[in-house]
Amino acid sequence: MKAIFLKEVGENWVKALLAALVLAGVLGGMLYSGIGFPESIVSTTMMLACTLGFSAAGLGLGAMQILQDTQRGRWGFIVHRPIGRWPLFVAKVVAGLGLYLLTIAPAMAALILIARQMRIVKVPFAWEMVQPMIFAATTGVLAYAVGLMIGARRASWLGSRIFPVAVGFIAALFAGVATIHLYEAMALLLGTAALLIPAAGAYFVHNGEYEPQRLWSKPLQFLIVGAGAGCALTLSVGLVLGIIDGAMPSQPQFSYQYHVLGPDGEPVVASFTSGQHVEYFDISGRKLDVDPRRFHTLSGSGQVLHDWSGPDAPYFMRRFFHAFVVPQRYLTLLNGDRQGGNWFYVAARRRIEGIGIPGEYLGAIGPDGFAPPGATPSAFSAPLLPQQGGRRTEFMPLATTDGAYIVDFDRREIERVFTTGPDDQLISASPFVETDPAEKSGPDVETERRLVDTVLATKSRVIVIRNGGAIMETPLLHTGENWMLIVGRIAGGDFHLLYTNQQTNGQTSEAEYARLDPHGRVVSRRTLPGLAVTFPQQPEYRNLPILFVPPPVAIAAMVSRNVAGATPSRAWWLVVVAVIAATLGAILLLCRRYGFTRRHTVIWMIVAAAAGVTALWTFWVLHSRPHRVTCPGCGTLRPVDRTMCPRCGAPFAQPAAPAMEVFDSTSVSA
Amino acid sequence: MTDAFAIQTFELTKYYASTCALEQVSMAVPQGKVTALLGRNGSGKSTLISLLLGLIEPTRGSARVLGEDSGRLSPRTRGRIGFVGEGHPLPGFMRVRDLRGFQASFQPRWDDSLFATLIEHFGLLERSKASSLSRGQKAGLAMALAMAPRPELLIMDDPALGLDPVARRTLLEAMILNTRDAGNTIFFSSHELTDVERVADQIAILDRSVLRVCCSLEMLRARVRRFEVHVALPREVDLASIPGLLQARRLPERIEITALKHPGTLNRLSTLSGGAEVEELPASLEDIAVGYLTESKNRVSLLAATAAEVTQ
Repeated sequence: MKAIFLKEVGENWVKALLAALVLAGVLGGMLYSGIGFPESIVSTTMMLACTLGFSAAGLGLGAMQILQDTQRGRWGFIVHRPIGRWPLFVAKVVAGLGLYLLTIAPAMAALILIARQMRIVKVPFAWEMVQPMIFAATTGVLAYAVGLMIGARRASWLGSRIFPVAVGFIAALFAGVATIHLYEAMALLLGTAALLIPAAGAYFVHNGEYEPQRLWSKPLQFLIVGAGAGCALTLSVGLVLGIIDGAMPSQPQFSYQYHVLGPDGEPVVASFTSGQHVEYFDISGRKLDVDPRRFHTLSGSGQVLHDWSGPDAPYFMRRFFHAFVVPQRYLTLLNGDRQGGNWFYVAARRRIEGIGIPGEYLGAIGPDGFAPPGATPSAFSAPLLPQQGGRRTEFMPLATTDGAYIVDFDRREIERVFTTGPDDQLISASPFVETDPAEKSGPDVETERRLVDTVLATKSRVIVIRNGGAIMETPLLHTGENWMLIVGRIAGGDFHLLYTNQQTNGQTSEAEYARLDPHGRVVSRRTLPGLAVTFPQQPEYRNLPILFVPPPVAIAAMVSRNVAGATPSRAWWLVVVAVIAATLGAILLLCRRYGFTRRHTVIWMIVAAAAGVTALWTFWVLHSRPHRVTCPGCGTLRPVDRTMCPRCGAPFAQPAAPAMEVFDSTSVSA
Repeated sequence: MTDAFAIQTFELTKYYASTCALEQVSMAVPQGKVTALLGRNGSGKSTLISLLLGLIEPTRGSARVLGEDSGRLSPRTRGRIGFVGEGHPLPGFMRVRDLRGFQASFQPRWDDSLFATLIEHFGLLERSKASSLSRGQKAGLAMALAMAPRPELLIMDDPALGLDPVARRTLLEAMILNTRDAGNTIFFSSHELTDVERVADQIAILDRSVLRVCCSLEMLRARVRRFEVHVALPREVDLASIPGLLQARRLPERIEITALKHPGTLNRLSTLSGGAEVEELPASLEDIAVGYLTESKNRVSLLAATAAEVTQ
């Protein structure tokens, strides 16, 4: 094994080094030249570039390692030695992973080195920010396993040989979008790689052939190749649907309604239909013929959403705020100041840090105030709540779960404006700008400072803060997952609180409206009638994907009417049943054609019943399909890999002997 | 019976898609002998060798090598089999000394002094890179790497391919001196019939994927003879009808025929030549091999006939 390891390293280290230089050059150059926003290693652009770059390196290395030894001639030299093929493969993989690390290490080092130079990237650096890069590196390990599989499995390069890429893509995508912590993503990626590597190894050991393999490897290979077939089918069906959509004369329309404030400050209904103007109706449904500019949408006002970032929120929602691939998990650009500096919230250090235009460190702002460079800054007691909506100004409201602050980035001041206890933690803080239809205020800072309030929401209260004190406080009526609160105020008058419910297709949802005077006393309160959301009725051809999904899923979708297009008609039912029957029939035919055993046939029939057309395609690309010749016994076509005819049991005829054979009696096998 | 044979195949068949590369080959290679496998390009020689080493899977049939199924050779048995592949595919980046270390690390019976002797015999330097070696040197290195573990069975796929006569002779000497004398078995394919004639005890001939001959060289020479009839036969005479005919050439004043020695052969020849004297001579291996490997429609040499006509 050591010899194979050294051979692999010796043969490929120069290529790995060249790839390392290219990766380091390209990725380092991207970061150096400031591609992505913010210009840091945690920008989405850099994350994507690292993932793609490292994956390409891993994929290429894995495929190359196998292909260079499986070519004609070389295969015999490598595997014909007194050692099993599995140890050879393992040694190759160990060497390959070492080479992969050699390939990506310079790029990672270069990126970290550049990221730490604030004069170049102009954003703060924290070691936690290398997590996306570690994810990218792990994705490369998965891609390496995919490369091994592609190299080891003999199939058409323009066909199913590249199918394993789909497994890598799906696993990497899932790890990127559905996990919060790096270790979860790494477990997913490495787990998938741990399935791919033995599957590739089984192909390597059998020189790329599927048939002679032992049973354990076949389900793995079915899953891997089947995932590729499924993706290819999905792409094909999507393409067909796209072509049909493009050929259709007009697209169906989508419409929804929402509440706005009318000229008199009372809620009215706005109705939007795609491709048309917005129309306004009063609560009773009467159309309002008023200048649209006199309605106030309250957008830009204070918003209170359900706290999806807290520990009680569902996992999938929390990941939008805390996942390791979300740039805001590490760094949030809060605002700039008038001297040209940018102020970032650095989550790892729980403080706000400023970077000047030339890239110099301006100092840090913590709950205890500003700390110039060299001084020890304080840190917030808890992470800042995610920023929600509203306008950002130099005077910015920020909040943790236990307190709210107003930060003045020009003066580098911070003021604590609200404190709460653990029983009534803050869930939201957002800037709140009064709208005044009479006058459009310019970018005068003092004017804006006067106008800008802060809307805070705890688990039980809504508080409006101005100049460091609460000017309005009222109970928070709804905190459920589907509710959202918009707080508005027109020209220093009453406060308008509009609780809206999440709207779903074809259903109405109630809204709750409260009008409060400037001191927070309820002036009026009422439930507004539900609003309609209408998604367009899809044409029936949009049900096409049902034909290609696993039959149980197709039937469940049809029965529950949870389909992409119009509710399936009787004809669609017939088509779906016919496709399922045709798939099963085709599998049965192929099994009989190639003389499969009864057990083997039953297994494939079950697989086809579970996976549908994907199973049929996977069968087609996975199984070798032996040539068939005419049986001398029964005259039917029989596969050449069977000693006896599956139909009549006759052996193969001996080759024609034109009376020129010379065989020594001791030189011919029985 | 198994112990007497280094290699046995049983209706060994290999298809590549719809192409039959080897059709129901049943043969046995005795221990301690040198067996040459002859055949035209694409006749299935490399396929047969790959199957014997378990490098590819048979479509049908089986083979036993040193008593084990070729598809499931144990590492220990593989250590008893030396292999020189066609074109001597060695990792080009490795130096001779690296390859020695690489190969020796796997082989428990590695003989370093034999390796040193062989590379000296082939004029190789330890520091030379495999990619910088000439074809002959590469062949020598591949041979040294295969022989230094002192294999009981040495399988070679056209080891002399593309070599000049001197390199071929050096290769043959190495083969004879270091393996045959030790009582080991050699199974090799080749197109160099003079080399084969020099070293082989046994001959196997593959004709378009079908085994036609597998016997000792003496037996083959005894069974296949050259017949000369000193008479000019008209073109209408159907020489192809001679039983066991391998090749016939019409020359201006005589006919040369290579055929299996068979009572019917002489009778038919005598009849066709109108009772003229038929001279029986030993056939060279080249005549025999060319006879076997010629397509049946070309067995009566058209080129010779045309030349004869031109002469006349």
